[in-house]
Amino acid sequence: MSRRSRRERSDLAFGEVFERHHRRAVRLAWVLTGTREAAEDVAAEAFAKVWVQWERGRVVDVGPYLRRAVVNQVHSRGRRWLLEVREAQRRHGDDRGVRLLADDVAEHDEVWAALARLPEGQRQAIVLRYYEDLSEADTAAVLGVSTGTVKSQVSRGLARLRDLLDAPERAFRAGGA
Amino acid sequence: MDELDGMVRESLRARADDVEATPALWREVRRRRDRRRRARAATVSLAAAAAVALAAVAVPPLVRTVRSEAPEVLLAPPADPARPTEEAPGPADVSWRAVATDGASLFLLEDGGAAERFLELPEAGESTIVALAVRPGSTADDLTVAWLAHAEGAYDLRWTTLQAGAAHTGRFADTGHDVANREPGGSTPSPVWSPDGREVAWVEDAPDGTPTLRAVGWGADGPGTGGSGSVEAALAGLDHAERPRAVSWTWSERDAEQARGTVHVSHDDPGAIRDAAVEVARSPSGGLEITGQQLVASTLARASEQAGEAAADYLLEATPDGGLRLWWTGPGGEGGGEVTPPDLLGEGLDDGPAWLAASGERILAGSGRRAWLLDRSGAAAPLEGEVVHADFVD
Repeated sequence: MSRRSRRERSDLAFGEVFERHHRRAVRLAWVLTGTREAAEDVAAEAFAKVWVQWERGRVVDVGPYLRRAVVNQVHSRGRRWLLEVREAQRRHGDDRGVRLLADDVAEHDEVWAALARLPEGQRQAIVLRYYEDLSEADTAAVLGVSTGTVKSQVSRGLARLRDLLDAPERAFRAGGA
Repeated sequence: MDELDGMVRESLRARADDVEATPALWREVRRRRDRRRRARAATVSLAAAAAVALAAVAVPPLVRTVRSEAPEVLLAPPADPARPTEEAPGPADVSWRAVATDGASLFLLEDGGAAERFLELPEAGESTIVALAVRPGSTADDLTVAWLAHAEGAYDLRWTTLQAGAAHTGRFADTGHDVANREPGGSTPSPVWSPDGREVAWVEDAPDGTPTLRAVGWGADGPGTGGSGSVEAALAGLDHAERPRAVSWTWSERDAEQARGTVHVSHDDPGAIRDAAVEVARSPSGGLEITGQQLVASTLARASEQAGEAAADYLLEATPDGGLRLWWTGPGGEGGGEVTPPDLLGEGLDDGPAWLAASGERILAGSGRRAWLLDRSGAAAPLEGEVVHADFVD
């Protein structure tokens, strides 16, 4: 067996971690950001950070750790950055990043368009509760807030969604995702 | 589960199921990991030196809480002023003292690793302390801390005084100075003091969402009781979605009653260039006004310190190669310098919005629930335990 450098061994070992978790991470980033480039950028940064901690033996369970890293990355980037990415895509027709296999479906999804209009906190809470199927307590832990805040964010978010779905034209006009 | 719950779940899953990563993702992850490796290699010698020069500053178990008259907090006696300071290695071997929060309490932290909790939020309240600022001129025996709590989607600005062992906590809202911010997605009303402690300022959202700098005078009895006036003005060029927050306040010109200086407002996206330098002036009558604003390049974190008539600025920024740089200007713009701290980005300095606090040649830096003590040599010592935010006591 050939002798591998420490770096090569780390690449191989974390490559297996990446293979197991990358699809889920990218999909979570996608539903949180709603943009292709942002999702892949967020996932790449989250994996790079997790890799550092993983090499140091600080990551016991990669799945939850990676989920939190993705959410933190979306949060720290801020909505302004996401808006800039969307604007850049609009101007340059940039099609790099995550491949969406059914764009035609997305463009007509009223719920998706309405979700894109929610404030960041409400959107994150709803995604973690309904896409990741996390409990209120686990959602609170990922977001770093209280369970009361999660309840409030989800409740307000759903109420806002109802309003937007009752006025679909308005939702689609400003959805933009 | 009602119909909308099901629609949301179905929509999210249907959309996500169509998403696949590009083949470039793994290469990009490796590239970013390599960038962090290079940054770490470049700083390893400094990190080793720091390990020799500095021991970790421990936050020991917190002690002795007793219920206060205020229903919302549990108070503990302050640190015993007669307690000898423990010998501890630290930058320049000079003692320092800070107020820190782990999100659920406030405690005094000293260079010997001693910590004494003097305020604890009740568990039932589900509030979290997210930021604090020590009033200039405070000492361990006469301390005023303005702090920001967050609960149920709303911010609550409060202050605690600690005098001769007695702690008292008040709420800005009870004095007619409640913060307008209601949603965590908007501006963050972190408090910042004027260098002489006569005003306290924060950023809040106007009804139309415009980030607004608000400052109120501060006298012996709290907000609005001093002789200084208030100011409230929209921050041009900033969006509340960037979660702007006030981070520092310095005077550039000052005499007995008049002063002219700058309040710096940062936001949570360190990659953009929308930090604002807000020029403020205090008139002889004590009123405050905003005299100008400009957008400046953003950094990871910023702090300032007023030393007499002159101010020093400290900035922490990420370098293009993925490293970290701490730089400063001395009082009056003289005596500046820069160093490369250890790989704190790899340690998690960018886990959340980063913050800095400065006193003399010491700097506290943190993000998320971790913090480090830095100095101008580039040495860094982690604070053991959870520290959400901290500020030096003069």
